[in-house]
Amino acid sequence: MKKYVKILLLVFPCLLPFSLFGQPFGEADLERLIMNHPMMKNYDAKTGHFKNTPYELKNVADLKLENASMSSEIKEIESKELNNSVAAISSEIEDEDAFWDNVVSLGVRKYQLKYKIQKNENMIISDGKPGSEKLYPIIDNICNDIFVPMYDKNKVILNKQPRYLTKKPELNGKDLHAFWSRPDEKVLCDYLQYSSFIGLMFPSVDKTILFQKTSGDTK
Amino acid sequence: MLLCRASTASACSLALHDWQLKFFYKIPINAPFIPLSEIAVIQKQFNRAVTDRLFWAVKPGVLTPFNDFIISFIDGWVSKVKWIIVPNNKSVIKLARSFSNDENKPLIVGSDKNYLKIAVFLDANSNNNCCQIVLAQDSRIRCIFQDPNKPWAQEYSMESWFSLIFYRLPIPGYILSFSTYPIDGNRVALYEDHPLVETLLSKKMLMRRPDLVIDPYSFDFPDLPE
Repeated sequence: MKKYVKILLLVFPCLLPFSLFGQPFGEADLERLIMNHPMMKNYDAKTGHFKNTPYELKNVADLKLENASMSSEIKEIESKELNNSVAAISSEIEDEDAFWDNVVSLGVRKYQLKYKIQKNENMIISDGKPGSEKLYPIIDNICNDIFVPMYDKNKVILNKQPRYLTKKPELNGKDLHAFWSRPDEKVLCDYLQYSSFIGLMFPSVDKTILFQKTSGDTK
Repeated sequence: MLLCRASTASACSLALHDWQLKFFYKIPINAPFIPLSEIAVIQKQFNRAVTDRLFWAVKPGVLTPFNDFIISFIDGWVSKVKWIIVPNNKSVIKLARSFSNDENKPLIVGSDKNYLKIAVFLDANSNNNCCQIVLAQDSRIRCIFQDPNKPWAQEYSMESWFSLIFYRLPIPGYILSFSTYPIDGNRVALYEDHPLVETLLSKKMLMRRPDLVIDPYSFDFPDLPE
């Protein structure tokens, strides 16, 4: 029995690294998935808002005009309510249920208008920008549409590297490509100084690269 | 009771509850136990006393004989006027017209379609140890006031409620809060035990509310079924 246990103990550490490195992984290009989402047709990159949604940027003048119109409608409703009240008290009403139905519908409409006016007032204060709480449901929907089909508890999903700009970088007049053709020290120093921009030289680098740790690595 | 309101800062706002409805029962009742909604709608319409008489058209209920005593504890001018309970066998419009010749016109309030809802919620975030019992009153309220300059007739569907939140047992020492709605249009905590809430939070018997979590039901409870 002890023999088998010893064998198992010897074999187990050998299997462990393989099982860890054997974790399957998939790739996702989040940038492309987001840009292809139907909601992105409504996205206005200039303003950072989504058209035809509650997170649409509104024109302040239009909001003020809308509020003036709604305030006018409220006055009309209040006038009707007053007339209704006078009628209810001073004369016989044949259909009391219809009277109260009318009272309720006017009250509901007035409440809706007041609520909308308050919302518009809040947007006017913030230059027509809706509150960020209007953005969260849109982001939630986009994320759900993208992440839910991709989710796999047995798989690690790696995002592709962001695609770099295709324009050749000109950094303070220094052409970093020169390093390849003229390997002198000064060019190398320039290359290292601007190392954070090196990626710009390789427009097609958007593949995930996995490095497997070799037995000789100590770091 | 209502005069001894607790601080408006809610102790239970410190905890993050996940209220799960475990029991619900709805029964028709003759009259609201306490006319909180009626008082709220009148005080919203008139911010000062407009009459010294209020006729409340309602089927007499269990607590209606004690109505004057109950509402005397509530703030505001409406609770100071004389409430006269009349049976609701004729419409509030007809009742209002019967006072057309009076110089001092009364306020007419009718409450019908009254229901009592009883609900018990358990907090999943505290392994169901934290409990909330809700007694809610639903009413259709019709109001008429024959103001010679600006007569008023309005109908509302209103809900008022009482909520008791406790940890394991509804006995003193375990009660986290007792609150009601509406008072001046708001939920008001009549009693809150801040030290108890802090103790339960520190022992991780309640879940502490993260600063960024905004939950519309955080202070109350999820919508009750119709």
